[in-house]
Amino acid sequence: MTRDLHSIVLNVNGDEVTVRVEARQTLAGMLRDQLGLTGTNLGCEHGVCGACTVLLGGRTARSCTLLAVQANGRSVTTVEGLAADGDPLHPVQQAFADHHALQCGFCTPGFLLTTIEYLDEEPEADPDSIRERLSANLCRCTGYHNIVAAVKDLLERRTGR
Amino acid sequence: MKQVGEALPRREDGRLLRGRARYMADLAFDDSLDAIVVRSPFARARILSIDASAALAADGVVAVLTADDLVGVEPALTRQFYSLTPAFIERHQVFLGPYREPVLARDRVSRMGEPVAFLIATDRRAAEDAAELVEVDYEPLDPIVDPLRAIAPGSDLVVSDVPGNIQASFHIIVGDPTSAVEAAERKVSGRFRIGRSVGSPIETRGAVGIPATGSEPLTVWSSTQIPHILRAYLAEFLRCPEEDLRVAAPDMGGSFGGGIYAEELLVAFAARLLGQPVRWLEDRRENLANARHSRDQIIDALLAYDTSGSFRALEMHIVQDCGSANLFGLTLPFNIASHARGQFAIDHFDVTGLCVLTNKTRNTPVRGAGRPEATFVLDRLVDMAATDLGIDPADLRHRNLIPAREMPRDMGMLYRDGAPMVYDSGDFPDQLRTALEAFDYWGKRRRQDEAAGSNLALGIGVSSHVEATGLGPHETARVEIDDSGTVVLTCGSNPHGQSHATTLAQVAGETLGIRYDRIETRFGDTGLLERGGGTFGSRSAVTAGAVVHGASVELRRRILDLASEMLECDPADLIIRDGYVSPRGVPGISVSFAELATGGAPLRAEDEFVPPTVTLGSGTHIASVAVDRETGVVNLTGYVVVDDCGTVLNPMVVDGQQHGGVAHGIGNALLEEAVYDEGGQLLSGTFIDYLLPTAADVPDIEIIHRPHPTPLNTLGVKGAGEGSTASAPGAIANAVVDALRPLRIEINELPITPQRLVELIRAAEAEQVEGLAGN
Amino acid sequence: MIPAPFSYFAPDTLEEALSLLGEYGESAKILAGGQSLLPLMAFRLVRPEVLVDLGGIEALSRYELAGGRLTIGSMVTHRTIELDHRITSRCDMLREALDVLGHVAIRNVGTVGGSLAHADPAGEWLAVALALDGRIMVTGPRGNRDVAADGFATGWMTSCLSPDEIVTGVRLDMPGPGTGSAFEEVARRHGDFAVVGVAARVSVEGEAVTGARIALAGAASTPIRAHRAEALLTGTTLSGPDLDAACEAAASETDPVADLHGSVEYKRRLARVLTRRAVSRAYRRASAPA
Repeated sequence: MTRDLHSIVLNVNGDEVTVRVEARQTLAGMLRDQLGLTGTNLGCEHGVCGACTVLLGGRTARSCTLLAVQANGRSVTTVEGLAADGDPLHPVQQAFADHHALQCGFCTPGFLLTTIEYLDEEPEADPDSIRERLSANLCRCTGYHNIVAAVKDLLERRTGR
Repeated sequence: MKQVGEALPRREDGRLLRGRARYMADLAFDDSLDAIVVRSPFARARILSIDASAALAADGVVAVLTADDLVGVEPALTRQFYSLTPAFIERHQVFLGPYREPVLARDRVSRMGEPVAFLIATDRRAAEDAAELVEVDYEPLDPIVDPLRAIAPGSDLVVSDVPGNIQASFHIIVGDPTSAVEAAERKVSGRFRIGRSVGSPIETRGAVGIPATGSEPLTVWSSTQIPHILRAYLAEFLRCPEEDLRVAAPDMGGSFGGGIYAEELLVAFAARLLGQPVRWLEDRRENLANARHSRDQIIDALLAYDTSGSFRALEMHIVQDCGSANLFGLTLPFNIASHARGQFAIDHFDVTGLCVLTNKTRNTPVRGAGRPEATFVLDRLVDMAATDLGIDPADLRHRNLIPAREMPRDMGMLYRDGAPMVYDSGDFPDQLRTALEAFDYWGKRRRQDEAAGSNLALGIGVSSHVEATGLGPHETARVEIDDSGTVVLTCGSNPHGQSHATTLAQVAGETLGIRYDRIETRFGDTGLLERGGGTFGSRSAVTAGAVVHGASVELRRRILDLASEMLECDPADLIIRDGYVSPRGVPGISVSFAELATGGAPLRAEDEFVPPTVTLGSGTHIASVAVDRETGVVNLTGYVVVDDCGTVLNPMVVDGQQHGGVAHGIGNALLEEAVYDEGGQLLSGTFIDYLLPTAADVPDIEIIHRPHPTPLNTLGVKGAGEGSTASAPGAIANAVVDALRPLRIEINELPITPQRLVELIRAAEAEQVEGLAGN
Repeated sequence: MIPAPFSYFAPDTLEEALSLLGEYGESAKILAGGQSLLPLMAFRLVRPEVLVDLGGIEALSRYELAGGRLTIGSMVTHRTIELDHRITSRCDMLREALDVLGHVAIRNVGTVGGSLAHADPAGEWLAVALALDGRIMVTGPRGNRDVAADGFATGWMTSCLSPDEIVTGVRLDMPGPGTGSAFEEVARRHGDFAVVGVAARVSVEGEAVTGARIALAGAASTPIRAHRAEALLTGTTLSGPDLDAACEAAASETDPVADLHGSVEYKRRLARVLTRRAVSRAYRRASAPA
């Protein structure tokens, strides 16, 4: 079967890009292979582990179970878009560092983006929902304790408690 | 500046948080080819033919390698991972049969997922498309799936040269267990089953082979825990000297157990054959089916004790399902045996272990490696005895813990490394007291019934474990000052999340008088360091910590010697601060590391640490659970860890290891199970069915350190990476049994799935009804 | 894990989409959110030659709550409904079901129509539709038709849709005054597929049940209604024996398929236990002053 190629235009981390992709290319594959944004990690490629989570139009999506063509015309934020090289870390990144909320770091980009969406929500999230919310992403290293602590800290700072 | 023992921030985090890590799939090489493994769909079959012609004709396909193409190399892995001393073999009646794992299957396959062909194409998509075109004609055979049937007389053989399917066995006798069991007033016993599990790092495995060029040897990048050991296996496979090879590990997305894998050998072979880099990336289904599994034992155990509650003897018979080949020999069942008595004084001990081959994927030591299994069995036996005696399990535990004054205590057997197994340090009673207090154990016990709801039953469980850590044989490190004055630390042990770049730099930095975050660190590259061990068995803080310390002490001596010449001052009168050496009390006069380094003689120290034997970490955990009696769903409501890992290099990092270990243990206790059907087909082949614990499955975990430094290394460090995995299953199982204590159920099987628990509850209820009817 | 190759079309209108389906027939598959389809394609268990993405058809992304009836276009995401307080405050069952339907990242992309058309036996949406007297709206070359949710799924992941038809939306009756609803499920982990889930809607006058709907997910090869249990509840005041009888009936109406996470017997038990919990809660809610 011949390759079914499509030109798509999307905004990635603030830059408009035009990419030619095969129809079966996933968003994760496009980000990694064609744009060189390897911060989006693939852990299961079937929509369970959450490692490949990105923001699509400001909302979390699993880039392994989304075709690149489905993201045509949309805006995508990856971990690389959170803080430019040389700039200070994004507050969520900083909170993860402060709380030792990462070990091997492979699941971390997904957790960062899940957390950012969570903190952006109106009305403000209830701290009791943190664990259920984070259950979208798998981590094998941290036991989640310090990730929860980082998110709790961010939530409390947000609400000024 | 004091650095060791401080919760200093991790140096690793910046690039990881920015998405700048370089994991296996992120490495890019010019002209790189992508490989995919064609695997057996059958657990046991004869291969009648392999026809790759259609695949070879497909777009982008470069080669399809089968066993017939493996010319000039060793066609199978045959060397076992660990060697054993003759004294050990004799003392513990060890039998060790042959190990053989084909790199590519020839004539027959003995497990689902076994590599049959290695297809190489210009890119991953082409490889996946073409792999479907490789036609393999199999004649399926009845697989051997149940280990108890495998060892029954007359069973078919998994491999022809392992009679009875018993690949290895041992028998340990300490004291006079037969008489002690006979003399004991009371006994509890049971058959325990530990579910098969998968290490499941969130990054799957991968490897790239790069052909030799003029200046660089044939290189393999692999997500391995053991670069130097992999190089040795590669040299054997390729029949070349180790010097002709380089193995390096990139950033790794976790790794909780490993070994040597055919794919790591095949990328090297294919790269050499084709003259281009060849990359293989595992997908999740391959990982779940084909990465080595772990646990999976059937353990018959008996604890004998007196009515006073004094433990007399422990007997165990371990059947270890090893899968189709057993790279690790006795390791898993022997680990169970050497940790089986835990923190308790049990003078009489009898354990047999059998390593049984079946048509499943191979096993490996995964986080905990025998310790969770041993601890679960012992924890259950102790709580069964407490119920039998009508006393609180915490009390019974306290009565039998080895007192601190008896440390060090010779356990009357040898460890796997051949050294006498001696508990070197620790205060177990203090650990238990501390845990009970932190948990408010007695207060919670009193309130337990009031707090329960109509469907919910609340329970509390205690577990205690020991963890032999810091296994040899050796670890190597070099510490040097380069021309620019930068301190460079190179170590054989490579990290996959454990924070080597922080903790080992803290050790070197404190010794050398320079901040840890100004030290450059390099790990896991045979091109940088001739020898090295690796990261497994909670060994890095112990062995790498000790060797980095040794090398740093030596480098400090050389720095001071050189500086004393330049400053014309006695070395004893010199101090180092922030990379400058100056006479004590004369900060105005100083010489920098950079100036010293340009002085001519290389400022470099390399050391090798050979630990005398393992050190003994330990921990006590208390868990509370809420059990839904109707659905069998278990929720964890509280968790306390008291841990002794000796000197704590960085408490933040150690806490993180403990949290992760507990979560892994929770997975083993409640969720994770690799399930095969009777045909040897893996049913839990995706992350939809193989259930890792999520944030919602893990409670907040309180961690308290009660360190007792070991005398076995200069830092006093014991390992911490695995211990917490050991106690979680036992603590949780005991808590669930406790919650349902009116029913007097016994949990003998992991994981405790809701369905299994409901079955136990129903059976117990039926028995009670019957009992009532009989009255 | 890369899907087998296919050709991709993103029509702007339903007419275009229908004509593509007409042209490619059974070799085509509809892409809604893709949260169920794309994993199956990555495993190459499903390998369409043509994928018709409905994402560009604006008309399918609308929803409306009017006169006690909620009409949801098939391309509306789960998350859109979940975040609309006007809806979730009127229907506890929907709020509770959406809370356990996968995770937010899935609900942001996955669609109501995709979920219904997939006809997963454990699917929350189809169970909810069964309990809310849902009608599934379908269009095809032979025109539009409405299919009762009860009967839409015909077997394991199959529905009464023909390959040239498209689900355009669903209409649900929102619980009115005197009606309470609830959704209960047991999943191995938060966000996993239900082992068994129960959607219950109970209408009460005084203390008596005047009508009940009970739908179960994960309890048969399709989501099912427990008709006998519903009938047994009607007219009762949910006394112990009446509730017991209804829950027993619900369990006996199931025909579970054993899998790794539950045997037939365990799933039956869950059906009984969760029916009790869902019905009791719905009844309490119906009886509570508004």
